[in-house]
Amino acid sequence: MDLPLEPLLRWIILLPVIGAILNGVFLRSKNGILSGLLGTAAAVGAFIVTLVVIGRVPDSHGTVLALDPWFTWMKTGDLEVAFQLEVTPLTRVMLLVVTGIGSLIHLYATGYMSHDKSPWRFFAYLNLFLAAMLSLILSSNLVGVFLGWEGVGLCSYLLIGFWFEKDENAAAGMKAFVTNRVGDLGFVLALMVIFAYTRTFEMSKLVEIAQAGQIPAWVWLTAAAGIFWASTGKSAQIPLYVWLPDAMAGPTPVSALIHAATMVTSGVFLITRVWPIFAGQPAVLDVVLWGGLATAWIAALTALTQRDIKKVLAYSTVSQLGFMFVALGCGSPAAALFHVVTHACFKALLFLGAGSVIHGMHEKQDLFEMGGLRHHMKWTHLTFLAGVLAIIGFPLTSGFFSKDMIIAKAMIRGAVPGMLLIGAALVTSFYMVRAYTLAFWGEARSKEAAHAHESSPIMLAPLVVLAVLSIFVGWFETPEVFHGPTKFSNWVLQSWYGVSPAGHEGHLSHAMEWILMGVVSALSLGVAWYSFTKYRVFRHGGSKATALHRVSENKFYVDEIYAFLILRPLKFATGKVTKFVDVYVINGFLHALRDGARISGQVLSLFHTGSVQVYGWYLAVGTVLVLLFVRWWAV
Amino acid sequence: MTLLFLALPFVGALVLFLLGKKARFAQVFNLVLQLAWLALMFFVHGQSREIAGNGGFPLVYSWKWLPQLKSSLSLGIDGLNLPLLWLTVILSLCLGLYAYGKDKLDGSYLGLFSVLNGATVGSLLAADALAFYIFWEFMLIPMYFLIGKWGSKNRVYAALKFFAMTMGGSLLMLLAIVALAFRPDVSDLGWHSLTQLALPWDGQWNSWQGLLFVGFFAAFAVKIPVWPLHTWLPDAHTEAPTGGSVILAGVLLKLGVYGLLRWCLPIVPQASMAAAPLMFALGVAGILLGSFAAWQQTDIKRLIAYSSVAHLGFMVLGVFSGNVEAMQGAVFQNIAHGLSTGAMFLIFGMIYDRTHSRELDAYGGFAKDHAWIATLFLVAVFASVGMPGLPGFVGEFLVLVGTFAVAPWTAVLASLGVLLGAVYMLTLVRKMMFGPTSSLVASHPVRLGWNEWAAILPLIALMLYLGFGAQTLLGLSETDLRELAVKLR
Repeated sequence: MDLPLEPLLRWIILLPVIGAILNGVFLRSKNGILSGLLGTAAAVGAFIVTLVVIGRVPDSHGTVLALDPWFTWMKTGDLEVAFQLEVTPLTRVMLLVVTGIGSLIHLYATGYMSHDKSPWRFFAYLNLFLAAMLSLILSSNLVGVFLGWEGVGLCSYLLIGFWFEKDENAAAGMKAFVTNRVGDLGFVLALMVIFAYTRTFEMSKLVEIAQAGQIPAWVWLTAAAGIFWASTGKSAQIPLYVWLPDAMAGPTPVSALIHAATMVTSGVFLITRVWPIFAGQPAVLDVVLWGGLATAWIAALTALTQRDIKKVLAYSTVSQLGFMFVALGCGSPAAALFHVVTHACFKALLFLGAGSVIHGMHEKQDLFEMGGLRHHMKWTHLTFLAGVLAIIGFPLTSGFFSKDMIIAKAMIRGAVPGMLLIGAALVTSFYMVRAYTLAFWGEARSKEAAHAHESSPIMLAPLVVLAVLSIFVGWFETPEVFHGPTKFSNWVLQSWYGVSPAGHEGHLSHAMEWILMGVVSALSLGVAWYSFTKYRVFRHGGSKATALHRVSENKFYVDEIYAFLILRPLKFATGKVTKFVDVYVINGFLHALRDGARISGQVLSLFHTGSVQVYGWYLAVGTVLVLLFVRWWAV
Repeated sequence: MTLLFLALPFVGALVLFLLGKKARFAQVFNLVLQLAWLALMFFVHGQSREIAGNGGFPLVYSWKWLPQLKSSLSLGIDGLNLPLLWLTVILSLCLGLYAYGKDKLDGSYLGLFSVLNGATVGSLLAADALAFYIFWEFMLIPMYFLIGKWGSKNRVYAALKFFAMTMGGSLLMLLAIVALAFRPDVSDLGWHSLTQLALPWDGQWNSWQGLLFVGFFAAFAVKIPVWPLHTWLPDAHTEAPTGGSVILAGVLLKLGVYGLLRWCLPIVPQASMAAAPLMFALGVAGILLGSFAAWQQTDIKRLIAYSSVAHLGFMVLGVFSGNVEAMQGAVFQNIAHGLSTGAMFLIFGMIYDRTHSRELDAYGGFAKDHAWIATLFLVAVFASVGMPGLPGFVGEFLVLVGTFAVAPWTAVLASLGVLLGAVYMLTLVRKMMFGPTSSLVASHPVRLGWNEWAAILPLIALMLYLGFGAQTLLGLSETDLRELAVKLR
């Protein structure tokens, strides 16, 4: 097969790397605008190269649209790993999302971080993150994906702990990295088992081999389970989602880019990319489905009571990621990917809007201290509203289409998952409108809120672009009854190297689909209106907190449970064990040996001078004498 | 040329001893010596480029020095020892730079180092079992003094423990070599004839193969160190002066792995493979218990030392898996760990020179005023944690993938080390580099001299290169390890 070679691909990764090096090694400027523009230029450069590449490739029906066989990374025995990049219809979408939204967020950050003490460091990390994320997307084999996977984890660690003078920020960064490493064990397991049985890491070959079905089924089961486990770490699902809310310790543009729009969706992306491995694993998909549902609910319930605007958005992200996993669990990677894209737009918008609010409020993040901001921050208010409408699925916004698609798939799967998912969507409506109303409506509840100021144009421009995207990007994939385009489904279907895995393709009747759409929209708007009226006039601590309220406020005590059940016992037990083994058993034995030798060594006390040097000289001289003796006098 | 390369450190050591207390002269001379040695290394490399990497351990020099003992001083170069030679030369140049301007590190200190270097490359180059043994033992003496004289508070205990345990292991190897020399079918103790022996193996451990394995393995196991023979390492690392810790982590431990691949596996292949299940257990024990111990440490050097126990556990797995991928992983990890742990000890040594504290809890917020030092330290830390893009990953990945093929559950347990590594290393970073600035850090600003920067940067540059340029090393040792793998099958 003739593969379309495209050496330009490597520059999509190299440009951000160069940007990071320039900012981090050479420039190191305290001038935030300069560092920011340099970082932005690198991101925009990657975006432009992406556009050029996409423009150049023919829109054929093949999977590999462009290929860059860059260099050999490891080659030994049967193992061969090349650092090889490829573009498929699926990765094309992700490339656009990451470089496009990435560029906007870089631009926004130029304004946001302009008063920071070391903006150069921030933009170096941010560029490095882009490079890692783009490697994850572009790599043609799983080892390259793992490189990106770990790379984004590293950058996330560095950026969460960006203001490392505060201990809790450093702790949050470490928590993120270590929790992700727990997930990565699954990835490593998948890599090991895949290589042992297929002798390759190239995804194009893997999906073929998976389809051919000559490898024992448990291999694919293990691989799928491992990749899913890794995804629960990166994409913040139960039980490993706990790092994401803490990750809000990082600067807000980081939360928007890494912890909402791009990195956290890489689990969904990876599963979609190797979907043929998952398609034949109903057991794994069941776990994906129910885990996704549980995550969507728990996170949404937690978001209900959070006072920190970023925490609300963080739990909302966890919950929306749950929606994506539900889509995967129902056997529809297209719906999952579609929601990845729309979510990237509106959640980035919401986070950046929150950043603008925080900026205008002099770093206050407490919703209870806001209020009435719509008077002071017109643009922020309107764009934030667009984001809220999109996330609650206001008819014809992007979130409406993608969420409707997932709900429809869940309904096909069964009434119970469908109803549960609709429930989670309604809770979303409630807490998002609550946050919006608390921030922008009612009376100003603090000095900062009364004197809030609108952000600079450099920050507002990305908001406007994202707002437009959030409203309109949904038209790429429309429900069947609309007879509109269904681009995502086509792209995703083309991305499995000619393999078309069997799925249970159920259909809703047209009437059912209309009813579903109408009922869900109506309910959602009703809940939104109820929430709006409830929080429009703020009453502090009016009604008594219920037990559920307290549980939600305390995030279901998950951190405490983990610390109590896992971390503390583990540290205690391993401390005891290692001390016992090393100090008492091994060293005890050695010391007994030494003391025994000391007693019997009294005879030699003649030479026992106590000086270490003398011992050494004995040895040196003795060695030489023995050698000389052997050389000239022995037989 | 190779002989000159081997002799130069010994000759240089004599001059350094003579210079003695004239520390500044000795340091300058030492730098010249190291540079000359580096130049020679280039020549050696150039000369051996044709022959190294084609397998068969080609000889570059041979002299029948002890015909009575069937021994000759023969030196060989191939893809297994060439990278380690480079590592030794580079690390000792870095240490020469580091020592410059430090009054305590006088002629006798540098002379001992030079002897150590000579003995190290001697045992790397040796293609004769007795010659190997002599150089091997000779490494002990200078190290013993370096710890015993220039170490910190508990140095005498650490030095003695190091000496006694290593010596104990080595004696068993000496017995093995002597026994081999007495066999009538052994014409000489050269590597080529010993590896052609094809000793019979019937599964009995009191057979020739079995006993020889025990002898060789004992020496290498202590040096690596294989769990549970590791307890000398934390003490030696902690008490040793910076240079000692660097060379210990960077080179000496590596010789254990090298020795297994060079001598133990090819001479007694069947016994080695029969021992593999036990080795897997010990390797996993080293990874897990070493990591757990590292997690508990409050002494920074001790923490890094225990991390070595864990990493060397990976190498034990790689070696005894017996397939090319895993052995390549061990060989690569050898270099990667030498660079990353060497760099960590070196950088921390420079900090310690100013603060005189190894207590982790006394540190905090170091990164605030020392952005560069912190960045370089982080590169080393993440190389050690196995971040892809840095060399530690390549080694661990190859070991895990290769081990899984022969012992899946071993590999699964070992992969826990990937997680635990992040736990203890990031705890170190968090407490030392991040958080509010502690009074210790605030009152002892660390301003590095040009020579100290020059000592760190080559190590960092190599790490950044090898992360992606792994093929440079993998290509070198491929043929040698393929030959070995055939033998082990």
